[in-house]
Amino acid sequence: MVDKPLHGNIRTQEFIDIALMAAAFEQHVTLVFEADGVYALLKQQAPELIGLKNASPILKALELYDINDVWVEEESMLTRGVQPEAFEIDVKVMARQNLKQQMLLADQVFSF
Amino acid sequence: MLYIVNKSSAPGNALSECLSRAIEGDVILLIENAVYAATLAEEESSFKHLEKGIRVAVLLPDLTARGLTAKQCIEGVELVDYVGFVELVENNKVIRSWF
Repeated sequence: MVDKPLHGNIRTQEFIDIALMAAAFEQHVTLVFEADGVYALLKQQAPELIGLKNASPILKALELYDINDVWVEEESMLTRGVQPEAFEIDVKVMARQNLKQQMLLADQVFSF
Repeated sequence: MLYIVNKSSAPGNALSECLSRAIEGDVILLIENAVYAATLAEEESSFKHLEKGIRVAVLLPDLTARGLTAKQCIEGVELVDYVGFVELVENNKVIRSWF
């Protein structure tokens, strides 16, 4: 569960690194972006302007590591006026209620 | 006066995000600084519109450590010690932490 933006805080970057590592060890990983986490997916981020390294390329790595289940909570997108077209990668938009059902099927849920 | 703000508005706040997703049968355990949320005046309380069937628990050692008492907690809040914390973990298959 990613619920924080990609820049301005190291948590989301570190968390995605952990997800990649888990996938490298052949764990089935689903990444869910919700709340302010939907901002992490926006393309054309320019964190260099505030002296930060651009972490957006890490999103492109998800597919390479076979993390193909990338879900985004619809309600969070609506609240923040964000559309899937603005995202760096392809995602599946899911309603809050469906996400909850899916979470109940997970062996482990991680958030940072 | 100049006001400098480095956090966005309420959406994004751990407790409010959690509350908007909790449904009947869920338990919300307040630990560390989240215990303060259980002691706010009723009109300010995040829990005033809490859906039925959602339990709210507070970790007592974290409350006591902050100079607060059970009496200051809003009605209906359960107090748990570390054993109670472990029991909640045992009794819930899926656990999600909000930071």
